Amino acid sequence: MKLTFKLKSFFRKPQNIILFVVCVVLGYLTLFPLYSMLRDTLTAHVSEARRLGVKAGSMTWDHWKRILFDKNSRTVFYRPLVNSLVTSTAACVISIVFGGIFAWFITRTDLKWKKTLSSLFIFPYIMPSWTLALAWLNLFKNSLVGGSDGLFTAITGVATPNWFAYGAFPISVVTGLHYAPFAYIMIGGILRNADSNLEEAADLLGTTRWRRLWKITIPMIAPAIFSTFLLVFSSAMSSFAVPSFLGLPVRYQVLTMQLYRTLDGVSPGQGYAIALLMILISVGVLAFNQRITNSRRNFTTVTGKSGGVSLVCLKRSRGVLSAVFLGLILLVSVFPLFTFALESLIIHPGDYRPSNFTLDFWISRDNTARLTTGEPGLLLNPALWAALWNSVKLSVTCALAAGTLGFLAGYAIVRGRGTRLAKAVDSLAFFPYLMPAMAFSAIYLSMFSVRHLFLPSLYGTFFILALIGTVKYMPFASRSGINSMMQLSGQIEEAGEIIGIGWWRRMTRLVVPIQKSSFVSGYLLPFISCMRELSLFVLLCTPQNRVLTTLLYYYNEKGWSQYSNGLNLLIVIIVIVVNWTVNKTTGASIDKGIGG
Amino acid sequence: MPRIELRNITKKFGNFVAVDNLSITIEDGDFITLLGPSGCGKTTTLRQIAGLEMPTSGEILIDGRTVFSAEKSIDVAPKDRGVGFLFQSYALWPHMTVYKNIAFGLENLKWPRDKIDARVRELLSLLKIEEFPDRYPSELSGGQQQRVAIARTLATNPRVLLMDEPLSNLDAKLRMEMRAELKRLHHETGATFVYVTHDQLEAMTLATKICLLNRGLLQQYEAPLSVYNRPRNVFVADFVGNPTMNLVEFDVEKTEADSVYLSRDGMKAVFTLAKDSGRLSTGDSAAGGPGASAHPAARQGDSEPQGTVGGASERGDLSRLSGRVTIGVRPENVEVLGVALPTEAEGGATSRAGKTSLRTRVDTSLPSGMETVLNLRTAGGVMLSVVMIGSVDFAAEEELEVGFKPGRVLLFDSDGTLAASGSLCFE
Ligand SMILES: Nc1ncnc2c1ncn2[C@@H]1O[C@H](COP(=O)(O)OP(=O)(O)OP(=O)(O)O)[C@@H](O)[C@H]1O
Ligand SMILES: [Mg+2]
Repeated sequence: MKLTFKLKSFFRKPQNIILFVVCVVLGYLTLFPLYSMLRDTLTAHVSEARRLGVKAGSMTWDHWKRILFDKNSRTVFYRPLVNSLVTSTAACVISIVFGGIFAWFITRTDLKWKKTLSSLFIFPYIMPSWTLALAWLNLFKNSLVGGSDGLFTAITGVATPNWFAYGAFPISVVTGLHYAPFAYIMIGGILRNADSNLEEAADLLGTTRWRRLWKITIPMIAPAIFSTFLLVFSSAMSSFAVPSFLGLPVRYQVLTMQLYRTLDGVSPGQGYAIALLMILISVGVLAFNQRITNSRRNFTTVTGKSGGVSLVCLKRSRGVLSAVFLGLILLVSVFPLFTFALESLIIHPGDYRPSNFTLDFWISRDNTARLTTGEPGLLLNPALWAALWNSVKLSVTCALAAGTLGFLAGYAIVRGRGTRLAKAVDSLAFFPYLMPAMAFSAIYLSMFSVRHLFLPSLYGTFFILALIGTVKYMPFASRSGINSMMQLSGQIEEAGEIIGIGWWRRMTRLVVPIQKSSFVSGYLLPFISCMRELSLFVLLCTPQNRVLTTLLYYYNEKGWSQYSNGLNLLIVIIVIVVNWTVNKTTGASIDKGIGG
Repeated sequence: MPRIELRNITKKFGNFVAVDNLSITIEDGDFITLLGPSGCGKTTTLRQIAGLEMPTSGEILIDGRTVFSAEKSIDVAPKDRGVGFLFQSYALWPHMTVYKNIAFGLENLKWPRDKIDARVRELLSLLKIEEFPDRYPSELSGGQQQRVAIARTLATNPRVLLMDEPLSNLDAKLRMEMRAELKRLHHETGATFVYVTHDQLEAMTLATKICLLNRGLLQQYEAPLSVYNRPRNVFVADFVGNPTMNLVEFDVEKTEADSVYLSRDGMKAVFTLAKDSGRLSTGDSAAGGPGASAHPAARQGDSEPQGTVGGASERGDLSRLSGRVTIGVRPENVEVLGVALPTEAEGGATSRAGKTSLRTRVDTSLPSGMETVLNLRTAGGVMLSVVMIGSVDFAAEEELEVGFKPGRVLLFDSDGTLAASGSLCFE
């Protein structure tokens, strides 16, 4: 067959055009940065040239030596590495256990208030990750490391020990709780579809409950557990805000904190070396995950819809258990909001007497009396409105771009299933998820702050924020695109093709309307993630184009806790309102996006 | 009216050959079924005709126009091939009403509204679904959905209708009804139908010609009764017919021009060529191959096996046979001659070469009212199935004398190809 004919028939299929374009674009936007990072780890930075006695830009092994084989390597790399691995693993375990148990109770028992419980359970994930960290501090901080006591000590008079208030323990718990909805969505998805007859059959054979759990239920949900592990592990390892809020007070260092220290000017080469190692670890987990789930595929196919799932009757413990779950979930999902509201109303932190309350931080025109600068109250603050507008603009842009691209990528990956190009795009579209946000933004900063190919310098522009947000959130959208396209038989589209419906009309009149809710879900997750993103933007935002989260970070650095708490409350409320509205109007939801 | 030609079509998925050098011609107005076991390449063949899948090599012509040719770099888009495709899963659009499902393709063609309406009404009544134009597919039964799918496919008046196991999701009774319906449609629309099924009964009852595939290779392409009575090889013989043909292997001892001496496990038999051999072997040509064409007359014509077949001219005599051959007899061509009497132990009618009957024992007897299926065991341990009209019940282990209808015994040579038909007697 002639080559031109082959090419022509290849590109006659729309999915191949999409795959090709996405492959080129994503290759440029993800693999090229990766290459630049690698190159930067081997070149001397301007600030290091003197110390190393070489010209800036010349090749050096210094960065790798310093993080791996130097007497300081322990503090710079190995200790933080161990801390990162420990907290990420612990977070995975916590989220899987908590989310998994909850999923089991929701799908398999006659627990009360299921609807309310399951929508509240998702809250921690749609809130910014540091929300729970701040709430933890508000509740449990102690005066041992300076500052005031938290609410808990104020009420009970019991001082919290350092290990409880700061460091590995709260980092793991908070991260675990933040990602527990992942586990709930994925494990719940399998449990909901799986035939409970499988479990009942075991009952008939006289298996004991525990044996049944170990031999039937756990293996059945194993693929979901492994996928959750992968998603949570990479996210936890590259999270920056939570460890810096909870770790810094006791100098508990993780890798991202080292990244921030080195990338913010001093020695980016070292930072990139650390980032590359982090990516390597994530890729390792991914590869392991893929091997395991492949060899266990037989379990995932157990998804024939069964008629009636018979629910375990909780009998007398029903009320108690329901109350316990409600209490726990309120504590994790609603209580933080309450503490933010509270802290934003208090003049002197740590003092909860009525006389110490004020609305000034929200509505006063001029707070000169309370703060050294005359920062107006939040609702009257032009900086806040500017940042809010910027955040909304950015999130909408990223959501539209990532959602559309991701959906198209997902569509093309499923339609082109089995081809090498589809496999390549599949991995490429997931890759940004594994990139630590901070390192990703640092490399974008260095790549795009100078003229690059046909692009002018983008430093400080809205465009670079939109670009990086789009690439970073594309994995969510492509995952949800793949999920929804898998459920749509290719014949639905072919039936249109054969009677002459063009591709564009097939998409707009058949594919999208049929998969409307999961289609919109593909936009929802990038939007929410972008609204609450900090690490990705903290290096790229200039004071002129701050977004809500970087403004929050600024307030936090200033130590204006009333402002940071108030702003946090605002962000959470905005995100929840948007999520709720979209859910009610289109049926889209983040569970559909993640793929439950 | 279109005629479809496939020339040397090969389709590979990686290294796996799904369709292997397939050449068939489907005449205008034919009702062809593609038949074969699961995974033999039926769907792939159909999709290639429609243009949904691209052949690796070969040519496809519809109505004299080349719609695909690897050599000439031609690949016409599905919509321009003038074909309709009926999917196994119906693939109705769930978010559109029945009316809209049918009208959508016409709207796309920018038909005027009143013409669309008239056409949809016409189809609704043709398929007897006038009552539910406003229902959504999920509110219809399987059979009704099936009709909507057919109506949608017919809307744009395709001259070729390709159907992929359209009835496999229906229950047995509905299937019977829909079969009749399809035959009626074929008659009323005058279109060329290509129909995929792995149900051989469906193929027998619907088709003007059956195209039987196995592992991507064409086995036989002839009218249903020819395929039934003169299966080209052991695979076809075994695949078509229920209960399946009795196939027994023998070793060739000695050959003459018109007879073969066979043996197995101490059983000896002689196969004799049918007397009026060769009468049909020139007319109704052999299976498959380029240029194989349909003769509507072949259905009415006497297509019962007669003498040597399969290129009779060069295979005319039996003396070339050697090694291990297979004898095949359809269950209805085994006759129960009577209950064997002990005194007649060595009995049975004899012919030129020996007895024409065989002594067997009843293994199972399965009367179903209209007919009775017997499973018999010979002294050599060979199992034979027999179909008798009417319900007769035999006790297990009862001894029966059976014979094979003269002229209805098939002989397949050592590579499984049909070599001759004739009679069998035993020594
Ligand atoms: N896209 C594909 N990639 C790889 N192999 C394929 C693909 N499509 C079909 N095949 C293989 O080609 C062979 C023929 O498939 P096809 O679908 O035509 O079978 P079929 O005869 O329709 O079977 P069935 O009766 O089960 O529908 C099968 O072995 C199948 O595994
Ligand atoms: Mg098929």
